[in-house]
Amino acid sequence: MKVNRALTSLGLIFCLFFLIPYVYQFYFLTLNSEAITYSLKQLWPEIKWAFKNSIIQSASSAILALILAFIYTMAFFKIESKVKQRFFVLLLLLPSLVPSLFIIISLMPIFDFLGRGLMSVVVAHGFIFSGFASLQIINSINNKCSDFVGHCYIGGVSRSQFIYKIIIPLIKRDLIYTGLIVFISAFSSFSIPLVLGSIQTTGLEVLIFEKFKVEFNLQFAFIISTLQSIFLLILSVFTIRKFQDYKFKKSTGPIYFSSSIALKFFYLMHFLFLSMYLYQIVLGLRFLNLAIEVLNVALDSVFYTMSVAFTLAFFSFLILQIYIFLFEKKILFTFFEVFILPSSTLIGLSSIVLYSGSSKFTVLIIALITLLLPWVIKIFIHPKLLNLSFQEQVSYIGGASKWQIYRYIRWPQLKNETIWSLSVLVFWAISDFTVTRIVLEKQETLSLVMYSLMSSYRLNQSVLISVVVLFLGLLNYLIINWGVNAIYKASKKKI
Amino acid sequence: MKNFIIFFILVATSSYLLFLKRTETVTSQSAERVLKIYTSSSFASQWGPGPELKQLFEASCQCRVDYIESSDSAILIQRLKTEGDNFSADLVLGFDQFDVSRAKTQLGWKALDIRSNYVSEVQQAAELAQFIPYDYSVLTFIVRKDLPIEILSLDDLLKPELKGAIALQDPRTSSLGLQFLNWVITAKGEAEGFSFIQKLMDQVHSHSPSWSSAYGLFTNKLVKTVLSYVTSPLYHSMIEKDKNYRALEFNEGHPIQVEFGAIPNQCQSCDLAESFLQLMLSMDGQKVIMNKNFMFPVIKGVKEGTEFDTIPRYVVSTQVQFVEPQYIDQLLNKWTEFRRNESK
Repeated sequence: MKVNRALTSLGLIFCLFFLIPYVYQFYFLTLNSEAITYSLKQLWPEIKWAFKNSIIQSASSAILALILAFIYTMAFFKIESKVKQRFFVLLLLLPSLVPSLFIIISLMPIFDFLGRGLMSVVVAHGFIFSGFASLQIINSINNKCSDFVGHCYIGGVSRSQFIYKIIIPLIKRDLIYTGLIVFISAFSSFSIPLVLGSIQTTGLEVLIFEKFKVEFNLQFAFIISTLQSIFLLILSVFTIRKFQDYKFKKSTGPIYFSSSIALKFFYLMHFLFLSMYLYQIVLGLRFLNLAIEVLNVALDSVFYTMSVAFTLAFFSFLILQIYIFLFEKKILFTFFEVFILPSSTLIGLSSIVLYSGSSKFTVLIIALITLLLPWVIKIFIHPKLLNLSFQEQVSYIGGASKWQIYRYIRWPQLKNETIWSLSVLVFWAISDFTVTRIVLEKQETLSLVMYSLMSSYRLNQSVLISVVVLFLGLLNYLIINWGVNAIYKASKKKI
Repeated sequence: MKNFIIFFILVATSSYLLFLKRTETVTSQSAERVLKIYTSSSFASQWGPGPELKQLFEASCQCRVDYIESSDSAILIQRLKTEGDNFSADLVLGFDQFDVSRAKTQLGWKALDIRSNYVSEVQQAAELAQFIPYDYSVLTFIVRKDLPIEILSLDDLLKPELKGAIALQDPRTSSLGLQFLNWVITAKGEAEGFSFIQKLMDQVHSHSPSWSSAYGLFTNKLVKTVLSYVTSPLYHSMIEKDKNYRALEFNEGHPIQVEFGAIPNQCQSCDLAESFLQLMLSMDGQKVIMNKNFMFPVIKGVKEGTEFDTIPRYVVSTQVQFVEPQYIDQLLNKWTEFRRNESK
């Protein structure tokens, strides 16, 4: 009983840690509640207008990303070789891993054709977010629909029947959830609506920045950010996945859901993007002396960046293991399913205030964990954990303890998800400059070097740093893969 | 298990090296006086004037200069405000004339008695006792030399050849965008100015969130012209040896952007901060700022005989204005409202 109470307390502490930026935000708002009411009245017409724009833009982006993701998923299942599949996934994720400015420049011929406005913004979002959406769909189909393939094939079920009668009903909830993730990401998008959009694409995030930067009004920025968070929170509650909705199934690529046309479309889109990206790299290398100077400066930051990456991976690994151990606490699952963070600029600001006594390195690690860990838990850990619930029930009936469930069921089967979670989290962290530039005081990470190059005349050289960041991301993936596998092997020996 | 041990040794070693690096910093910190300067990353970066100025200053001050970087003035001001008791800036660099009006109302600044032989363009800007100008540039549109059309006035930006080919900055997020808006309103008056902006919308490729995004579109040949500084072509000619860019001259005159430094009331090494500002206004300091920031020096006799002297003198539309924050809000509200109605 005591152990159970202790575990519940640990779960609550776990949730509270991620709520800290909100605590700061609400504390700030309650300091001057009368002024807040007045400000809210003043701001209301603007908020309403920006809110409408955000909704239209994010909903359209989510729909397009899901359509593209469906096409990419069909392309994925056409590939049989494991090596080619890995290459495909890398290509799939690339648009979401490089700074959005490079996407904009790379795909500008398409945006020029579409013109400035909603259409261009939606296409840019669709291209960036479809990779992740596609990975989610691939996982859902593998987990939920694979078992039906053989029976349907023998029974003569057509492709359209398989899609409409089996795939869509089975993964409906996952599709809604994936769409919601894209919706939320597009809702807080900043640069793309500004560069590619018209005034009608001015959303709440732009409004927050405007209040903060032009009017220097942190109070207004906090009010809008709070309203944005509340809205997204309510939305998340409606799309929460069922706790025991899954059954474990062996993954096999469904032969029904593959298309060579989809594969050609995927390669065409990414060829266009990659060739323009390579063109920018060539431009960056055109002035060799500048390129060498920039790469020299970048080398100074590699050590610090890797220290951030290692420390982050290490602590995130520990937190993830605690989370995986505590998962059966329904409160934790619900919390992370609905948890939405306020604006990342405000996370940076609240972190430097709340952890002001700590070193900048520590503050950065805390801020990045607060910002990124909930996302990877949602995207990678939750689906797999939900899959395991059937096995766990059987084990409980057989008398297994919590520790045994963790050690013999969850940890071995979540090893790959842990590797993916940590790799993606570390990659996002080393390429982040929203929180990093607020927390750090010097150009210590590669992303900040890239940012300073992007804000000078040396935009073309900054592309070279993005290549170094991509390389480090890959290196980190290999190290994390190696490290987690080593821990896995060590724990297996003891078993 | 062997791999497991190697992995953790790797993590532990990197953390230890980081710890050593930090300890070294702390030890050297305690040994001497420190001048803390809050500034933009472009100023403090390797390719900005910061490192060279630091070297010059440390050679004579028996102190250490510590740059604390921030991406822009708004985040910088918010940081100064939110850090409260931990507030420890001795000098803040990087305000432009629009920021000055805001900064004055948000924080307390020391009145300084720093006089210099200022060029005529910034003499009015130098009248404020708390904010000291250290560089400036004139704003204009930059084109490639092979652009076949002539642009001599703001109205020429409406030529059909420039349809969808002009990169501007969003005035809500970029000070250059705000400068352009103010330029048009000052040159044409409010009613005619907004009517001009309405016509210009078809010509504009995009309103980027920052100068760098807009300039990136231009250097990648995605637009024909971009709002930037008259000194921009010099960067391409001096660093990239590319003389294919030119700055346009407008009949209406040009806006001017001045950068300022200021010492907050809570400074700890106030004397060092003042000396650093004096260094920035010396011949040597101004040369460093000019060559690294690609901005004009604010004192006489620095650019003479250099490539900066080859840039013709542009007529400035108005002297530096320290407009009230309410005026900026009003201008932006009208711009937003106007664009909202225009696109309905």
